[in-house]
Amino acid sequence: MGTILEYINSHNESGFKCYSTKKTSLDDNNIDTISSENSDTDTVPIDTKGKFAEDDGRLINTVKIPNSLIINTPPYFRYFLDGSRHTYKVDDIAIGNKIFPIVAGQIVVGCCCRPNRDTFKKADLENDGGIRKKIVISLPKQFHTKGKPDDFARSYCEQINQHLAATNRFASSRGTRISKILFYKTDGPTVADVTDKNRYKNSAIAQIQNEMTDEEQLLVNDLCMANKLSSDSWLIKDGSLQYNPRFSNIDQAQWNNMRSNYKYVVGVSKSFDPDLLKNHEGKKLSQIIANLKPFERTKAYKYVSEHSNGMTFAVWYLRLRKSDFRETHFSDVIKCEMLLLDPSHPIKTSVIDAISANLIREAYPVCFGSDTRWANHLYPVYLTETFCKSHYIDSNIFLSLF
Amino acid sequence: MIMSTERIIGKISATEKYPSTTDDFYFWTDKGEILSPFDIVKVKHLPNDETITYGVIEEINHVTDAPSHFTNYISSDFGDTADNIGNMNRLGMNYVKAKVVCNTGNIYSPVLDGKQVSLCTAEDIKTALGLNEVKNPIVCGYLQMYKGNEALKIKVELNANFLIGPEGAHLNVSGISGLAAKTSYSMFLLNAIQQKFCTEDGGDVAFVFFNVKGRDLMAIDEPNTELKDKDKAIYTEELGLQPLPFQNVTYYYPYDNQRPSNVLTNADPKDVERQRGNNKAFTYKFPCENYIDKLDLLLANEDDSTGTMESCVNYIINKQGNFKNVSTWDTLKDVVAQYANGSATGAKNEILPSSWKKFLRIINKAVDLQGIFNDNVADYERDLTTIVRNNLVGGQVMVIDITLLDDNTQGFVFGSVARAIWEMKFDTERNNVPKKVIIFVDELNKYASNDTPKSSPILHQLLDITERGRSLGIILFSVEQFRSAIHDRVKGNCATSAYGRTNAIEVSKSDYRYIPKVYQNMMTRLSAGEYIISNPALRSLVNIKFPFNTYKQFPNG
Repeated sequence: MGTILEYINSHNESGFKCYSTKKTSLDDNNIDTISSENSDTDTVPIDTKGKFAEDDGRLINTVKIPNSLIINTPPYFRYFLDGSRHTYKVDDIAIGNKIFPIVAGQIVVGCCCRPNRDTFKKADLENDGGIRKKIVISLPKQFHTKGKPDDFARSYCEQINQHLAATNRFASSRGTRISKILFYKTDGPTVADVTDKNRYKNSAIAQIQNEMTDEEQLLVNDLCMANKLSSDSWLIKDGSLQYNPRFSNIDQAQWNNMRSNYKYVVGVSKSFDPDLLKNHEGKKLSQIIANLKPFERTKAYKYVSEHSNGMTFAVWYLRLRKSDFRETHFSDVIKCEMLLLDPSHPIKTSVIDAISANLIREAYPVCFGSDTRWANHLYPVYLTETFCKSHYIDSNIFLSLF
Repeated sequence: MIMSTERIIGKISATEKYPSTTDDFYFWTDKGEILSPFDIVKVKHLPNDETITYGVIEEINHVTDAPSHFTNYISSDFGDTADNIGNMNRLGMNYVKAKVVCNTGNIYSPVLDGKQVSLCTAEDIKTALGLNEVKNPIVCGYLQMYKGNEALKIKVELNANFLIGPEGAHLNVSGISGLAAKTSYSMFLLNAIQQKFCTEDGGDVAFVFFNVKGRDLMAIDEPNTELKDKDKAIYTEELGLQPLPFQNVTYYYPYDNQRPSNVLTNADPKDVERQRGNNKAFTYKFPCENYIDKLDLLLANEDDSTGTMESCVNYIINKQGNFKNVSTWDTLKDVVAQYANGSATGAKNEILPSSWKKFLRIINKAVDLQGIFNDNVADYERDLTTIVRNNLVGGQVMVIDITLLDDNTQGFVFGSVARAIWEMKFDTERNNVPKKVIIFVDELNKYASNDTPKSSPILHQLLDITERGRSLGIILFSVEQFRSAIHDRVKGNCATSAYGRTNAIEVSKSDYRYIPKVYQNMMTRLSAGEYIISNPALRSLVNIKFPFNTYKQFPNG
């Protein structure tokens, strides 16, 4: 048993017992474009027939991005943001007659800037220097029973850090500390089927995932506060923009304020549920997505997400490459999202086309050989992801803290 | 001289595959950073960044995040050759391998990952290479480092004790013909030595040069009127030398009564006459009575595995049989002919007539064809070895022209002079023997190649000079095209080596095994006037340049 678990084992309210079980990494690589295990499944479409989110109202399914536009479009995107987390089951703890996992996580959210085609650097931000790193521990909510959870979490976290600094040479020399203790729910509607033996573990991971998405939003907020985003300096955010405030650890008012930060942000997802949207005829989009020709996109549809406080998004799918060499029909298609700040005003089709042309250009060079999802990857996003991952503490060292 | 700004250019990168070691380290740098092999960088080191480790760049690699060429092919949209596909270029950087040159605190534990790497100032570079406070400095050229505003030009001085003794001696210069400027570099160095030791230090060094190509060295005391002002400036401002030709030079031309001015040379007869008029040029001959004991030198390149030729020579030198009173070349030939045809009278010897016949052919070839084997030495003519033994003094430069002599006779001249210098050093009657005599010989491969017979007296002479000459003050500056062809003990005893431009086949030989691959490749690309120098007083190989020579040049030989 390592330093932190020793402390948890010997300093808890009710003498809960840690079992010193095997410490394992919980990360697996989800490499399929078609995914049901992403945020898409947590969101609910409101309309049965798709409504266009762009001003061109022609009843067509796809739009070809002209080659001339691809070649001549000026670069829109200057900033690239990605969040990444590694989770580890570090132990099991007995509370009452149940055993719950203790899950620890490393969270890294990074933002990179590309001022020209030869320079790619960490974004120059005052607050966090373009990178936010956190180590968090996710404990079952039963671990704490008295007082306000936040107060307890903060003080308990501080005690652990003091213990860590005093007993672990690596932590004391590098200033490594636990940033936050999270408490995961062990019952209620957000916890999966009771027959699922991994339900507690998944709930613990979800808490860490929420913390990561909060960090992403805070970093976008930092960009906006520093006036980095504008009509010629857009941000690509890796993944969906449909954040759920109920899962956030940020207070609601701040969360709502931050939604206005997304005027010049495009969310790009490498994996998605192709059946999420319906076209103007009420048919599911999956067939249209599968049959997209090279450099073709679907029409942009409005999508109202209940989970995101009823916010409206413009969503379209874009094929990035020539199709001759693709593995599957979806392997070079990305899902693009923009937040419609005013749902009554659709985005100009010319803007969506220009963004799409830019996204096609961002798909080169490729990371073939380095990432199995290379066909769906945008190169600067891939670099940002690599940048984030380079900030992880080595797993062996990380686990030795526990 | 522009001072470098000590700009930070990267950081140490120590990985599992490429760790920092006692000998070298790696650092990453921006792909746009212009660096070159031989550039020196510095890193703060233990303890607490209090010392500095200097490294000399050996390899520069450009890498991207593409794991394979196929990745790049795909990145160009499966083979599209159009420029600027996409909105950005692939992420790339340079990583550089540097060899540790020294640490200011003598700490040689590996430099640490993440430490900043920066360019050096001129002082740093001098410290790194051991060029600071050089004792007995002799300028051997200048080095250029870095590019653009940070470019530095630094004078390279060697400690004379490591170039011309007593700590280390002898110089070997190699490089392919024409492109390496071997003779030019040797002359640059010798001129610097003359300026240092014959002007500043009272003239304790004498020079003996053998001219083997055209008129190369036959006007080294005349100024180079085509020397440009920028080269003059390099001499005076960068190197602290005077752009002057050699001083106190005497030329020796081989006698030949069939040629204009009775000299066998490529030099213009008018020039020869002018030099004679100025008492700077003389004709040399080898009278038999003074050289009969040096006949072995004529056999230097003869295959004499049974030792019969050596027996003939010994027979003659010992004045056995009818050779007792031989004092002219004609008489010598006659007597040898008698032994060859079996008509010799007197005591019988054990050498077969067939051996004498072979010996006669060698003697005839030399004596009949080369006018220098002549017994009549007029007042204005010189017996070379007598001159060397009796008259060579410090500060003097003797230039002996052997260009048009055949190979055997060239060897004879070189061997005779080298032997005379050796004898001079042991002459106890003279009180003005120069402390050091520097012999400059081009095409060393003629006298000391791997193929030279082991019995060659000239090879023995050269081995004596390179192995024992250092302590006696006899220094050999030798030049050849291919270092690998030179006898191991001769080149092995040269403390200083200068590598000029050579070819890929040559650098693949074992002589170059200790030189990093990048430097080997650089040797095939060096420009004229550029050398890689190795000297015991230098901490690393140094890439140096030198300006055009200050004496009269003959572009067409």
